[in-house]
Amino acid sequence: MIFRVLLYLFLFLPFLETKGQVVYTDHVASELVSENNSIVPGESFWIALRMEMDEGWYIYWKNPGDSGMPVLIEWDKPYELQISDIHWQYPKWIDVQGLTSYGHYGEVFLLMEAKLDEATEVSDELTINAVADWLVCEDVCIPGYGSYSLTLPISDQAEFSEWKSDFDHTRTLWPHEEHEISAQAWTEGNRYVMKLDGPSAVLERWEELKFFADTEATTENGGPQQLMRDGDDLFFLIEKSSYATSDIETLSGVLYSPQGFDSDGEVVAITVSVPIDDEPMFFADSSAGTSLAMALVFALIGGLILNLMPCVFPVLSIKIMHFVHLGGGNKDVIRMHGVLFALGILVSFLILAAVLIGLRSAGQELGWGFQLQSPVFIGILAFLMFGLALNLLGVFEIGNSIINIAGKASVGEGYRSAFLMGVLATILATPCTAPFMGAALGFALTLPAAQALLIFGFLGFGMAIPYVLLSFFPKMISYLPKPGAWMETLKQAMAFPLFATVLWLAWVFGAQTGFDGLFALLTGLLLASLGAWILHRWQPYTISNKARIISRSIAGLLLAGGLFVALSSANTDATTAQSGSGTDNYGIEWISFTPDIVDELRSDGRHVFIDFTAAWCITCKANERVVFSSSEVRERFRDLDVAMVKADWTNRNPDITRALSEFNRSGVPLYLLYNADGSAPQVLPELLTPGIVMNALSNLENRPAAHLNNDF
Amino acid sequence: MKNMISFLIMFGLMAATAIANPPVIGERAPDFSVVDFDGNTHSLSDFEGKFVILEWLNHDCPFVVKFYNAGKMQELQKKYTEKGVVWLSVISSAPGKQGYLEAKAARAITKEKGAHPTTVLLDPDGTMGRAYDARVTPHMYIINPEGMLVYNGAMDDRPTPRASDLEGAHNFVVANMTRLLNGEPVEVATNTPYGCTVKY
Repeated sequence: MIFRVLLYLFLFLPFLETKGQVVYTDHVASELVSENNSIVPGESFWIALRMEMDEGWYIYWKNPGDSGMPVLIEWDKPYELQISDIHWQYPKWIDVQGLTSYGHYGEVFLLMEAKLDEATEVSDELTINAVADWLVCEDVCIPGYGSYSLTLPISDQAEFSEWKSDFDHTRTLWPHEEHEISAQAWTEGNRYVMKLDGPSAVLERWEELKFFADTEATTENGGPQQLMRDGDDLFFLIEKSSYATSDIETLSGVLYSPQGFDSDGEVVAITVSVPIDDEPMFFADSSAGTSLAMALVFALIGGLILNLMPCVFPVLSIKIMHFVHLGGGNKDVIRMHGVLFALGILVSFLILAAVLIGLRSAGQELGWGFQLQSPVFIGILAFLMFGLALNLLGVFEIGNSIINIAGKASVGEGYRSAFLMGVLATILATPCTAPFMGAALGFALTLPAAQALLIFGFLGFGMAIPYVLLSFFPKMISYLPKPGAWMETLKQAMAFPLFATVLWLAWVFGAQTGFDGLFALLTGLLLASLGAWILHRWQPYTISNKARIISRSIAGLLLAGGLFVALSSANTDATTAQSGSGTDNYGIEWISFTPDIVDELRSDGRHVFIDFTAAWCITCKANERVVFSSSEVRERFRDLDVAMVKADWTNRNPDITRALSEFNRSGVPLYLLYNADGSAPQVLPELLTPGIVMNALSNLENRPAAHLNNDF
Repeated sequence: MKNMISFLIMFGLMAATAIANPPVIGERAPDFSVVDFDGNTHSLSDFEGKFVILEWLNHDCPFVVKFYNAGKMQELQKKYTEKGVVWLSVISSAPGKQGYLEAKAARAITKEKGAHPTTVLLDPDGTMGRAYDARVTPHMYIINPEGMLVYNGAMDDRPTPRASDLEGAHNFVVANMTRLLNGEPVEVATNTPYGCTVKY
């Protein structure tokens, strides 16, 4: 009898002590517990699966690592009760036989937040049933299973249970979501590089740092993770999972350091979620990370600025004139024109992006602005611009509108022409890689196609905004002058920006094909103008049928012949790099760019300045003019014995394309200033001033020696 | 000096992981020369012209037990070996570790479980396991008749040891084999394998 009582005592004592139903399975004691003794409807409360493992045994974290599985809980509960996922405490790094698990030893509380709907019909108590599955491991693993029931009274006032302190303690083990550490990440080969920023006192303290990825197949679970310091910069290298797919876009997880993440060193784990760039972003000098959202903003701003760029200017003036022309008309029509114009821009940006992405994937080494690297394209564009200019001058007329590029496009409404105008504006904008745009584009090209298209779309949208605004707020149009005789004058005057554009195109064409090419183009334009003159001199209404046929044929032949003559010279091998060497009119001796020559100059211990430029890049030309016309700048370059290298991208040049892409750019201009100490180069902004250059040059002297590249 | 040591440690780690890198999908699968439970030596080249399925095995691992207790693994072994596919179950557990079996015991348990692999390879020193970077049991690989690795990953998409999860699971090996036997490319070439660690 006594024996039986003792047996009962032994069997039930643990139950009595904990007031719950503890489930004993192999190496694990577990139970469902609550932080509160009662539930208040509408107020959240916390429950937990308490698991106590035998010494040396562990259960798995949400990312189990190389093997195992996290604890899974399934609920049987009333619909009105919401229960969150497990709030995991930071895990332990467990190496077993060369493989690595992330898990928890000892006593663990897996906390979950619960809330009973306020509108619940109040009864006396609530029962929560759950089953849990887990795997508990030491050297070997044993699956565990428990089913639990927890009944709590419902009241209007909550009281803490005996577990309160355990819940509180567990919360201190949660990785902190709010902290002063910021991070950027990119991939380098089979590693992620996380650049960490924060209070320097904290960064300096870290000796040990571990990253636990939230999901499997992100990092190599047991792979080396290494802290690297470079001056004030701190890099954390994490090996990529062999099973990582290429679509991983963020590095999310927990950073752990026993030295802590706050000034007191008490916070030992934090959460991080960092977008992964394909390559480090060097955004001027700022170290801000370029998330997709930021890139979109930059793309939008870049698009807006495009309107101010020299090569968009002629089109802008044409378009403004067109708005004037429509100003007196129906507002819906104006709106429609504005939207269609915007659409034209947007669509051509997207098409361009699609083509660019397509070409990229086809492995062709072409970059943004590649249309203008093709002399054939330049030639056709020159003809088009020339024709438009002649048309504006009234030498000949095709329909009523100069905008009818592809001949006469539905005279009545001109909607199609509005769209085509948008397309034309875009084509002309491509060589002007405005500030912000280069990085956004380079970034876009490294992204999955859908995101790249999105960026291009924003770029186009930015460029289209002024037109849409103008069309949607007709009041702004009413500020435009009223139609009148002056319009013809203005129209004629507008021919001259176009002639200037032709001049510029001809110069680019000449740069690509030489003097003979330029001569051929000009001859072609002469023939074309003769044809245009014939069209006008013998107008259809004033002449006989026979004369009409003859005159039209001759005009057609002249136009076609002119184009042929011009383009026949364009078929020279366009991939031969134009020599960038020689002395320019500022007396600077330029060395022509090759990757080898840069390496050579740098190994000779010289500072190197590289000017990535192209004849068709007006921004580049403007920069060069502004900067190198300053004798102060030239002297400084000379005093510091900076090797001046010119990478001329006027024609396709795979080496230059590759060099640009190394800096996440797909277009010119790009200015690099390498310090003789072998450190990573300074990337100068795309709009240069003598001040910016002087500043960069002064950095050459007092820049701390950094050997980042050598260490990687 | 401290730097030197940490450099050496890092280098060692890198070297170790370089060795541990898994064979690459679409490239030649690592060759092996391993004795089976009948004492015959097999190499990959012996099976040229045939599909080869590799299954890392540890009969005491709950994830493996899930498949064997339900007869699922035996069913697949039978199905594919009857189609001329070579199915090799590989035991890489070291002597004294969980799942390690002597030839005789391996034969006995294979019979007892009603398993139908082409044969069971005994890899107690883990050479073959390391060469394939086998991490878990059951870790599955498929090699095509040209000797190229075409699949490296999990058995299915339910990473638990629960028998109830067999139902409704998407079996990657079956999905891939069905396509491969029809002359089509695999549905998925790689994913994260799940299970117990291989007890090297």
